[in-house]
Amino acid sequence: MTIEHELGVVLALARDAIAVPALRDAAGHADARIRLLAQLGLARAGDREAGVVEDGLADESELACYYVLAARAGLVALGPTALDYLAAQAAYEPTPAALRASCVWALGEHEPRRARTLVAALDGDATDHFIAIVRARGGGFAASHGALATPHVDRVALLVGQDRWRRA
Amino acid sequence: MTLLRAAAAAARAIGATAEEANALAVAAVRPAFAGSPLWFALPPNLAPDADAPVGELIAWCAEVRDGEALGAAVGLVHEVYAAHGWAIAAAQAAAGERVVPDVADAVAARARARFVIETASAVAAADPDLAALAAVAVEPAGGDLVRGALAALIDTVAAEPPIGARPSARAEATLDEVAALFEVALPPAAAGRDDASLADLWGAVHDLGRHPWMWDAVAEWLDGDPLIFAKAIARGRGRADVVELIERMRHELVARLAAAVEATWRAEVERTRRVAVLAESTPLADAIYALASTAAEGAAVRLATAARARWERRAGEELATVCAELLGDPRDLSALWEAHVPAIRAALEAT
Repeated sequence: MTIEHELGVVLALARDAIAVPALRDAAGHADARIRLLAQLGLARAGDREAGVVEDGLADESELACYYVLAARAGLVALGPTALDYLAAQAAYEPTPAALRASCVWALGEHEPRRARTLVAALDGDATDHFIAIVRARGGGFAASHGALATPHVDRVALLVGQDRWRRA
Repeated sequence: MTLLRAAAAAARAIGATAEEANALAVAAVRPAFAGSPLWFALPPNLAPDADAPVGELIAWCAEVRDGEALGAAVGLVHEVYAAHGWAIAAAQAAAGERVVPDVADAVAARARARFVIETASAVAAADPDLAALAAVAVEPAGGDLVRGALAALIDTVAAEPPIGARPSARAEATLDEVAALFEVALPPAAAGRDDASLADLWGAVHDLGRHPWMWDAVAEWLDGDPLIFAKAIARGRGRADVVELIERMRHELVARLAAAVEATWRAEVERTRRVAVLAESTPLADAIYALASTAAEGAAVRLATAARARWERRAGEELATVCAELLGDPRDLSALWEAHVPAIRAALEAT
């Protein structure tokens, strides 16, 4: 592990607003692992700055980073183009099921009607992931999906910290 | 220079700084007067439409509170004089018994042409208005540029060796690594279906270049991201290298497309300016427009002087009275145009 990774881990674990500026800078780092740590750190610190998430949704190349970005996207105020990124990823059937489900969940926090169409298009495995995500994060689909059974667990929610998904 | 000369005279009369004088001149410009959609790239004018009832125009001018509003009033007076009959009425008064032929349209066209010539450089420097370019039926810029870039993208990605890695497994493994660093116990990830084929990408990219190239497609490239779905495919297939390639290509393409649009914009503004330069006129229309121009400059000074007196709470002409005179009957304001009487009469003789 390089010193940058170590620093990233420390910042990501900090869960402190003082780490947020450094984490925002690191979100544009060339190394995907640093970007992932930065997004996790921002999620754990409860950062609500939309720009970092919007930029990531536009140009993030690594799937693992996108998992965390999609999770964060449900918690920040996004513009229409960022929602289009989420919708495109959710609509593309070969996208890993957990990521599709996470994108649908995030979209549902902004545009429930649009998300409902995408939920209906999810296959069985992606629907199970969606249920796991709703169970862990709550949100607009909690009433319809939050009590359903699923074999999956929302790994991103566990990584970020369960308390981040609880709303006032 | 005509409108801008009047604006500069008003700026001098209120003792404006260079920066304030520039703001006043900008505010004097009335984009609609150019008669070209391109001119709407300039800031909108504050003053009412010159076709509004004269009482409304007078009331508006009488309330100018700052240099920019004064500029807008100067622009309004210039348009009323040059293109709404004021100068024609003044010319008739200057001509005495002789009837001035109906040259109202020719004078307005002359004024419009001069206005276009005066303001073209500001329009050329403004951000290109794609809707305006579409409205004047300019061929959309950059179609071949975009199609060429899309073809190159397909070519480049097709030449890449296939990657056998399982994308979702790799992503989940990365999350497991990070969880270990955080000392968070994650349950094992479910095995997903994995396929790194990019077959869908060709269709998505090809579709972008398939349709006729229109200005709304240019706008989508400049302000949006037509490659959203292409990136979703590459990302969904775990091809980070292709997502990066697409994004790099998009940034380069948008920069080149923006440059092409700016060049098209400047060329179209220059074409409009040249049409104005070459517009034909008549000696009588020229003479009446010269009268309007001089009168507008004189009116600007009177308006500015009265406005300044009001702003500085000094004794001076009442602004409302001045506005009523300036926008009223030109026969009551012969001082503004009497120097042009010989030129008007000479032009009439030559007609």
